[in-house]
Amino acid sequence: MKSADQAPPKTPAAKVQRDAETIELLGDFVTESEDGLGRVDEILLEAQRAAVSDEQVNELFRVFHTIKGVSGFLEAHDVTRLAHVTETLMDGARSHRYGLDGKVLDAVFEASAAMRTLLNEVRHAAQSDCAIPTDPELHVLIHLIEHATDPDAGGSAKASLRPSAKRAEPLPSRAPRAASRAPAAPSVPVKASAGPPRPSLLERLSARPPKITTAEAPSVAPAAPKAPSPATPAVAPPAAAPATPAAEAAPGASGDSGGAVRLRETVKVDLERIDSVVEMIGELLIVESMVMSAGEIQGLASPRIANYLGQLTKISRDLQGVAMRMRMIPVRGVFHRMARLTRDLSRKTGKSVELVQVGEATEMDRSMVERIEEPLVHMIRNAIDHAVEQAPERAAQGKPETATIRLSAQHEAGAVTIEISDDGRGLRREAILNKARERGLVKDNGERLSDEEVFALIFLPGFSTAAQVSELSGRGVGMDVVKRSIEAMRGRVMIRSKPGVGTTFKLVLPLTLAIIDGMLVSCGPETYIIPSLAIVESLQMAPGMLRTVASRGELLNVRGEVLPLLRLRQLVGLSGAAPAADQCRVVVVESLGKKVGLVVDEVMTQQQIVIKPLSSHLGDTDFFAGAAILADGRVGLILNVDRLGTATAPSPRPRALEAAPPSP
Amino acid sequence: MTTPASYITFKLGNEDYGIELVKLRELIGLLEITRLPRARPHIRGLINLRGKVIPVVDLRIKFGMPPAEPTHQSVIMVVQLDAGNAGSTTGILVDEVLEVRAIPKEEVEPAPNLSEHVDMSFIHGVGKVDTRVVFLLDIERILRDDSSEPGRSALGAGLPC
Repeated sequence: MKSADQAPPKTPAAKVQRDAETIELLGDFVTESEDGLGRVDEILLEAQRAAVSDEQVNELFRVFHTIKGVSGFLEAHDVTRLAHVTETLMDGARSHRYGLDGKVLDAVFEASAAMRTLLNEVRHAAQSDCAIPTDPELHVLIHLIEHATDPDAGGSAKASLRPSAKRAEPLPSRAPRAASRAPAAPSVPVKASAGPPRPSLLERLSARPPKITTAEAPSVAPAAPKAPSPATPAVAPPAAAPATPAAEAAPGASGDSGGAVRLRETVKVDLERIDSVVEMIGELLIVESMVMSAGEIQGLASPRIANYLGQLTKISRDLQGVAMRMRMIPVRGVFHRMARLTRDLSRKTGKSVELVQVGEATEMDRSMVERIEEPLVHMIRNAIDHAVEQAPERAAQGKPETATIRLSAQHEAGAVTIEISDDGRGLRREAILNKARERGLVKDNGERLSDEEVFALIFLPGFSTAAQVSELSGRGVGMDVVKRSIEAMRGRVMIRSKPGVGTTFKLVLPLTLAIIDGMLVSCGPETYIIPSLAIVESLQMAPGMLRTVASRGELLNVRGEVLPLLRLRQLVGLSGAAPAADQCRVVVVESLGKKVGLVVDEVMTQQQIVIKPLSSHLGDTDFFAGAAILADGRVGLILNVDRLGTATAPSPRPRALEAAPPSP
Repeated sequence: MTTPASYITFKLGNEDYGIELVKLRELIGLLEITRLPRARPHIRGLINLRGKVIPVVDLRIKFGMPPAEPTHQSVIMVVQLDAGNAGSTTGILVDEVLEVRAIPKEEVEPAPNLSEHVDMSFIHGVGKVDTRVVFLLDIERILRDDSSEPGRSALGAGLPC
């Protein structure tokens, strides 16, 4: 019936209005997915020649898993379906239920080819403001993928894969034959795999809330209009929906006049190239300043030369600015995509969830912003799917019906930290332990493991406590991907969780290159940098402020508040006479909730600092968060304020950022 | 006959040393070195190499020789251990750079216990250049050596120079 009223391979190009954000999302999705398929093809080609490693099979799995996850909320339904069955097929291969060869291999090849075609259609649809077409023949391929491991499906499976993969070619006449060529397959699975009859375009559109209300109003809780919860009155979307199809009814009447939208095209550039550009610009600036300060040049009285040199300087500085910006981008884009993901998942699961974003302007190395997205998708999906309770359960616990996920980013002690907190049910220690025992992952029943160690088990590949594998999550692949991605960036993931209260994932990422606001302070001939974020205030040392207590060293009395006092000169081992006490300045810094007064000779200026990491084999470099190049070309050291706090403690504590909550 | 390897030779105190030329990226004159407090003693500090911050190692300290203030002849030799890894770029402060010399393999002998100061495991071999003896350093080993007390294992540590 479906194929009767829809002309394969392309559905009529109904016009759809998309906001710029959606178009950008679609573009990114297609590009990233194609990258992933490139890796898939490489692995498949290798698999033809020789057996591939478990890791490679895992990689195949992850590519389709990620495509499934993202396509789901972009409503590219065909892509989701195809990715889902292929993922399932790969799941079997990675758990060694069958090998990646023969028909299985063929099926993945076909899936990859068909996926490319689908992605092309998505790209085309996005560029021409059309709805993403659905392929009425896709179920044939899906059926074959699902049955690729049947022993009796025989050669017919392979044979009939061909036409379906070619369905994008203008040979519609072959499609019906493809369908009829799989007669051996019972008809029931075909129906099941094809899913319920596809909703019409109208129905699907009306399932989407109007864009104007949702896209621009992140502060409004993205209420789940389809929520079964009776407490959420189904409001605007259904009412507004008829308006959209009405506009659809006259395709071309207004849509064509605006012209086709171009997907934003991006070029992925090897970071090494950017680095070398940045490096060369650095050299250029040095030479430029050498030229400028050369006596011969300065002796020239020609206003023309002076003018040229001025231009040279300006262009060099602009170039430097551009080079810097090439690497640093705010996390805003990724955060906004997470808000959207939240909204879509919220609708899909019928749970009302609001995403609160903090620190979207935090800049990160471009490569990290790109790589942070996938782990965030997994974590947010997990949070909504598993952590957030259904409305009645929340109500019973006295929690607000709308769950809150807080996504925040900030620079902290020379690192970029990103936190994802939910107010859901929290990690269940026992459930995780049971699963781990089942799979023989813990010794002695794991009774003696700390909460933190138990929580860390969820990062193991294939570990999931979810009872059901859903289209959202539950295969346990997510957290595996999260840990892998973060560690690839030399970062760490920490988990805090309280039953019934919620879970916080904290990602601590190093800054290969990050800009902070820093306060330059001097100490004798040396210059140090204190991150401005950590500074509470800076004040002149006054005679009455200083106390010396025999057992606790020096203390500082700031308007009645008594703080431990540290002298930067002593900390950095600088000898020589310090300026008189009343000439010194005290910078009050706060770290890990603890305030410390730091005596410096002088507070100089505040400026933006590009942090350069220090390699660890130089010594106790942990004391510094990094180095930076000062305006005069010298190297300045950035103090690690966290370490100042512990320097006052009698014995150095391990630098654990997160204390695990006490065991229940 | 094997092709002779080229070495950059330099002076530390009264002794001549050499490093394979392929490890050398450039020579730079002395520039301001920012002291790195709490670093290992032989880390002289950090320099700004055209926008990149790299550490500078003082081989005198590493070899347990008496420290000396840099002079106008002092040079920072910039070496890169792994070609692909910019993080492995390190400056080495030496008293004076001499010349680039090709030293045929036949002219290189295994390291005898000759140097007053240097842990012999840091030395590939001893080359002869004219009438002089050049200690050919295993610079990887020296820079990766994590013994926190420099000169501890040096033969003549603490001897007057």
